This record gives sequence, structure tokens and C-alpha cells, in this order.
Amino acid sequence: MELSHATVTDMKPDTLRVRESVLLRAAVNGDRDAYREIYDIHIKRVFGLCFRLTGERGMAEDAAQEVFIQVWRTLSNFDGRSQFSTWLHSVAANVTISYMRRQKNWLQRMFDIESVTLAEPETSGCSSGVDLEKYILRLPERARVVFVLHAIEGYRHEDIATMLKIASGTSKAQYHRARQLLEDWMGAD
Amino acid sequence: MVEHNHKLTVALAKLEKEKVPDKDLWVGIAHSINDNIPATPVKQGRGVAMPIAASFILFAAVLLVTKIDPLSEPSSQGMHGDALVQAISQQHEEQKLSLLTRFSEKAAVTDDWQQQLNELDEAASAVKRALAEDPDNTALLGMLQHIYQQQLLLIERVHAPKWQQI
Repeated sequence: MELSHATVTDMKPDTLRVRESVLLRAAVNGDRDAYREIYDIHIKRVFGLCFRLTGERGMAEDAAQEVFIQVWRTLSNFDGRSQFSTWLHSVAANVTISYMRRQKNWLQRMFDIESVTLAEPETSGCSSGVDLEKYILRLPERARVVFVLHAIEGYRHEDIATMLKIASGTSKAQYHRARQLLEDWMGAD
Repeated sequence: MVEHNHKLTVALAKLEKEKVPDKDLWVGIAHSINDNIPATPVKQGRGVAMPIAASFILFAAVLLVTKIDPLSEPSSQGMHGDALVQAISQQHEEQKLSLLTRFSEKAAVTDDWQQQLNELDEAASAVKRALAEDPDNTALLGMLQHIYQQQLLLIERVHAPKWQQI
């Protein structure tokens, strides 16, 4: 696969989809160059998800690497019924949560509801004047994870409950808590 | 309160979902996936299929780059656009037919290989449709070639896995 990334990103959506299906077929057959192109297409979106879930760049980088290694190993499981990006993001969310669980203090952070993440401030370039990105990173971990999965990634509370091994009611409560905190912080601006 | 809710909803809609990592993460990924971790069981047959496939790839690449068909008249050397697509497709069909004939007596190691072949046919048709509108798009030509190569590799791998060659 000798097509440059610049060429790929310049393609129309339909052409890109065809191109992606060709790359996927090649990658399933062991073509690492094709897989590199798939990585180039999706890394920013996957990293964005990993970063918001972990709340930390270093962890997000580790998690994103783990996502693409896992996806390479399980690429043949992708049945093509959904869009590849949908499947990839689902794998990314699950792998990242699993990665976070393995880190020290996961249980403490997940269940310490009142603690607030002291994440490094990161601006999003949001033109509304409200730096939502910074506030999301300030959320307590469990509220942040639920908020990211539901409000940004569009997962249902039932799915989030399964992913986090919590009750769906807990997921809803954490989501509302996150919204409340964000609204308060944004209102104070 | 309603105003804050609206503010949050607007900010959420504007939130950029993509983020760029500070370092190139591919290096670590490439290192891990180079440890011979198989993507599919079919990949086991790659060792034998590769030299044969490589010859097809080389031939197709030479055909595309030089646009020279040794069996045709010199006038075809400047072949481009629709004519080039047709020439590549015809060449591919001949190679595919030859392979299918060669393996017609052999059982395939997977059940769904014909379905995979059809999917690749559909992908090739989609690319050819795109080429009809943009005949000299080299990216699309490369894509078409790659699909054809994948078809040949698929036929090879499902009929001649490594363990049968020992």
C-alpha cells in the first residue's frame, strides 16, 4: 500500500470508505502497511476518546497504543455489519477502561466520588468562550467516564453499565452529577 | 439554570472529538504487531503464497508504471484512462481464471472464500465506477490494482495453505 496519508485524507467520503474497506481486507491478510494507513486515518479520534476517558496524556497514549495492538489481533472479528469506525471506537472504549482498571488507585479513584481530578489544563480551541474540555478533565473520574461515554460517544446507560460493571441507575446518576458540575462551573465563568 | 444547560449543550456540539498525541504512537504499535501475531488463521499460508503473489504484483506494477503490454501494438504504450482500466481488468480476469482453473480440483480451507471474492468484486466495481468519472486518478488506479491483488492472494491462500505444501 503506497498511497500517502495526505492522499487518503483528501479523498471524498465515498472514496475513503472504499479505500478503507480495501485497507481492512489487506490488513486482515497481514498487510502491516495497510494497517498503518488505517491507524493514520483513525488515531486522532481514538486518541481523543482515550484522553477524555483517562484524563491524562501519558495514560491516553499508552491506552491508544494498546487499542491498535488489540484491534490488529482481532481485526478478523470485524464482520462489516457496522461501520469500521463504530466498531473501532467500541473496542477503544473497552480497551481503555480495561487499561484504567489495571492502573494503581483505579478502585479508589472510581469510588471516591467527591475527589476531583487534578488534570493538566488543556484548551480545546472552543470558539464559544467556554472551555468545556478543561472542565471535563476536572470532573471526578467516574462522572467523567460516564459523561464522555454518554454525552460525547453516544452510548446508552445500559451499555455503559455493562462496560463499567455498574448499575444503569448509577450511570444515570453519575451523568447527571457530571452535567450539574459542568453547568455550575460554566455558569461561574 | 436553563441558560447554563443551553451553554453546555452548545459547547458539547462544538467540542472537537479529535486530538493529536504528542508523540508518534505507531512505533510502539509496529513493534508489537511485528512479533508475528496473526491477524487471521488464513495468514498461515502466507509464506508459500507470497512469492507467487509477489510475481503477480510485480507484473501488475510493471504494467501500470510502464503502461507497456509486450503482446500489443506500440500504440498501446500511451494507454490511459478507460483503456488502461479495461486492460488491467482484462489482465486480472485472465489471471484469476487461470488460478481458479488450476485449483478447481482442490478443496478450499475456508467456506466463505467465494463470498470474500464477491465482496472484492463489489469493491472493484465501486472503484471502477469512480474511475469512470475520474479516469486518470492514480490513487483509484492503485486501489483497483490492490483489490485485484487481494483477489489473487485470496484464491492462492485458501487453496494452497502452507501445511499442504510440506
